[in-house]
Amino acid sequence: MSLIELRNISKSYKGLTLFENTSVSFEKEKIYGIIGHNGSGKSVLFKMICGFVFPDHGGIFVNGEELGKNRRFPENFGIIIDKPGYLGDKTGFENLRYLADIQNKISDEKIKETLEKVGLHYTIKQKVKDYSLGMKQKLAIAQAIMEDQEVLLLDEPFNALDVDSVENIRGLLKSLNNEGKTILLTSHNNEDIEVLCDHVFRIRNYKLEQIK
Amino acid sequence: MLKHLISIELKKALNLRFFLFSLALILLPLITILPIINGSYVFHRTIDVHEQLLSSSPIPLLFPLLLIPLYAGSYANEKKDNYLQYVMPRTKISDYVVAKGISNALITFIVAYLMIYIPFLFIQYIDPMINYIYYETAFMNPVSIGTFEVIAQESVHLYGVVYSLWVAINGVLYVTIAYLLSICLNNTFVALSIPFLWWFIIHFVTSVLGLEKFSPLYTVFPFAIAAQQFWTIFIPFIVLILFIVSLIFYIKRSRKIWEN
Amino acid sequence: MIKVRKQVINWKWLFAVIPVALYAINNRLSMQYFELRYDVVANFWDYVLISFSDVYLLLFYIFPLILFVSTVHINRTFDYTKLIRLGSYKKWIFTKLRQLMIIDINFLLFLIAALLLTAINTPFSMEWSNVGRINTSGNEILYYLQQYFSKPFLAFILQIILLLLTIVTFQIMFCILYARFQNVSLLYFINGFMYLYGAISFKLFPASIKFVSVQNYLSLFHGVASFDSIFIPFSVMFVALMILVFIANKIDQNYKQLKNLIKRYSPLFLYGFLCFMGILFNVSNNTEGELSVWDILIVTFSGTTNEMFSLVSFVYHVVVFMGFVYLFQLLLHKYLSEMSYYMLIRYKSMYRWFLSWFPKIIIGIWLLLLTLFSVTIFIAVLIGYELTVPQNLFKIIYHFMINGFLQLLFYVLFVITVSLFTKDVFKSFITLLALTVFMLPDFSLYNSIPVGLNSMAYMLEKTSVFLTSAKLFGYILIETIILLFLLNKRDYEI
Repeated sequence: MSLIELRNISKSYKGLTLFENTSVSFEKEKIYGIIGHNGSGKSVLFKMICGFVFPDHGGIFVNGEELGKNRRFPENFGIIIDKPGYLGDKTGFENLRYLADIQNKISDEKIKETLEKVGLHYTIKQKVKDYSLGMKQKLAIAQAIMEDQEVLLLDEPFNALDVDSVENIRGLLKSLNNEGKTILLTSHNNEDIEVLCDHVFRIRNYKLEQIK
Repeated sequence: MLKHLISIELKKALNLRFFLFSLALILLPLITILPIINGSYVFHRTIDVHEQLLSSSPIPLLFPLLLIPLYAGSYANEKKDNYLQYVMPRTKISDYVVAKGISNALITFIVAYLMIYIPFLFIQYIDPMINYIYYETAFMNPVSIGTFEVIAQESVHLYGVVYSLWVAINGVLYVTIAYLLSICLNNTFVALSIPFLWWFIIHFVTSVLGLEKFSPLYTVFPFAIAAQQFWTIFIPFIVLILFIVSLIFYIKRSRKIWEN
Repeated sequence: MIKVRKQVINWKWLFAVIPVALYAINNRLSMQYFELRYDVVANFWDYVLISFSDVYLLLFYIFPLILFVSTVHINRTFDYTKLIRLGSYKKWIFTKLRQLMIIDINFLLFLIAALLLTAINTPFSMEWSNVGRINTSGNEILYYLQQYFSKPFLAFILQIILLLLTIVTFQIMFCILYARFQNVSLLYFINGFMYLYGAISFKLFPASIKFVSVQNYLSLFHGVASFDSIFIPFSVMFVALMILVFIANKIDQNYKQLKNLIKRYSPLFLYGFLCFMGILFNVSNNTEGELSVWDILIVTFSGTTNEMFSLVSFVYHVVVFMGFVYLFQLLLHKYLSEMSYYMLIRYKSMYRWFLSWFPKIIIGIWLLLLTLFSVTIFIAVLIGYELTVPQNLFKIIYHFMINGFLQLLFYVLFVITVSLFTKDVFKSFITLLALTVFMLPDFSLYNSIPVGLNSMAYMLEKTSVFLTSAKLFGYILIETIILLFLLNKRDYEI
């Protein structure tokens, strides 16, 4: 059974047709890259897989269960969609702590460890609203992986990161994949896709075409 | 789950700024206004002092505006900073929003209650020990404190509790409206200012039309108006509740929370 | 048209006026006891006017009846084939209105005939009889009418006009609603509602809500006595009619556009309405005593001083002046949320960005003050306050305009400073309103805080208006320096 399966999906979003009767499935423990020109629907695809928006026709199945039937959002997904989100008047650590508290699965130690992994020091006392865009992006990556989420949906995870950080995050994603995580990511940078991904899909003519 | 989410929200809300602000709300009237009114008004009873303390303070005029900054804007901020998208995979967003609303109500309730009750406690129980307030004993001619006088006739302590509860409950209604509006409207500024505009403008309109007894201001702080029949205070109260119910209905029907 | 005339000129109205005639005869019979008791003699006009001005008759019979007949007529004669030939809803509305007016006149002719006929064979005179002089319960109609009108005939004519005006206003409203929703149940609902509302407004509303009480626009004596003016009942109805005519003229325009327009300007309308309400309230509450229009200006915008405090004038002061600032804050919120580095770079500096919209605000302040000034004076003159020129006229106008301007400028600059500093317009809303605390009597700190210093009540004290200007000017100077500093020095982050 595929981990994520899109069956005959059609979707238009805010008056724009994005997908027409397209089907695709994603297997466990692989890294997938999604490419497509601006406005082709990469983010909407991710939003559909997360259950934030529903397809107009067709269904999305995660672990064999259709979204919108019994559950709205799939379990154990780590996501980055759109711009990074945060609580402006809290520190980076506090931001992660509040998110972690919701399911209460991980300790402070684990949060600190994750912060170090993405290249932020947990001791930084700066409030997140004063972070640079790159720092906010790192924080976004941290929240997506800190609870050992099985599936990562990362929309442009390398946005705003400097060269060293890109190397670091690539390594991090590789090692997460080796631990058995499934990763779906988009990037406008072909190098990221080539280095990281086992399979690549391109959005063209309202369909997902596999090109690798 | 809901309880758990509420405890997270409370933790988020209770920071240093919050404590300073609510401490100011609770203690400032006592510290700044009591010395001014002490001696310049004739007091016979403890509740007279309490009444004068409130009506000399800006609390009645600004009431919703004092409570809304506590936590009512938190949803709007989290939406603006895109934080909610990280919450969605972790819990049911509807539970999260409900938890936030309840926390907001809870926090407001406690602060508003203490804002009325702590001065009452001081005047009623602590002052007799230190004799700071000057009472006129020669000419015993107490004036009614208004609509709630009937309760004070039963028991002064009951009055203190019931009246503080009444103010606190009204405070909760106003902040809840602000909170719900911040979900409905994209303009946070408008959403958060509407409860105060309502408070002030309806007071103005009812005064001009000769219907003061239904003014929001006079039904929560019924001091500057002659004692009214008790049912009158529930009219604006019911209007607020109807407003809240229709907002909730609207949010549910239009699925506002999902569309960020 | 011939067909219409056939349809509407109908002798069935004769039956409709029978109850009126019976009622009038009953009035005539009971007048005999009144004449005997007070030793007076009623004349022809007394008999006509007491029946024609009777609130029960108008409110519970004549008015509902004509509204009901209008509803039936509108619904029965609506036809898409006619509508398409007329070409627009606007034309349809005015065609309907013409037909309805024929019905009205028809009915009124029968009504007047019945009233005149039941009064014949009574002493005739064109002057008031001495019945009207008696101020007693049950004789309010004639007592008030003879107080306000020199001749009974005048009262009779004006009663016809007022009734017709009100009926036509409601009829055009019905036509507009029908054109918009094409739902007759809505009109029947309004019929029922008006019946109930009329009863409630007549029996339960306090005298202070005279503007929305139906009987004041149906019965001349009631309206004139409630408003203490002949002019107001007519003008209120006339304004309502004009607004409806305006709406009828615009009804064919794209509805969505109109909706956007209303949405955009609704805060402004609400604000204007509240300001106007306050002015009317003050103007109509001070009719006793020999006040001049300038006194009315002072009373209306009295605000608060250390010695004088009333909650109503404090609240009105806040509504008018802080209300204006609130409208400005709505605008500021838009400016700040639309602001981006891309935009700023095109303005080359924060300073220029600021100057791109700030002069409009200055003009806005002047417009507001001028409007408040002229509307207040205009209404006061209309109602009949004296125009006598007081000694301190210059100071009154100076205080209202110049200190009003400086005070508003202070608020506006204050709001801009706080909003830029905190990047949150709501915080400036809170801080500004918190400042109004210094307008309360125990807190005014010798007027050192620049809030509410343009209160007109200062005219009644010994405070120098020029000193107030100097104070405000000083504060504005300080604010400007802070603002310039903020605009130039601060590392601006969006």
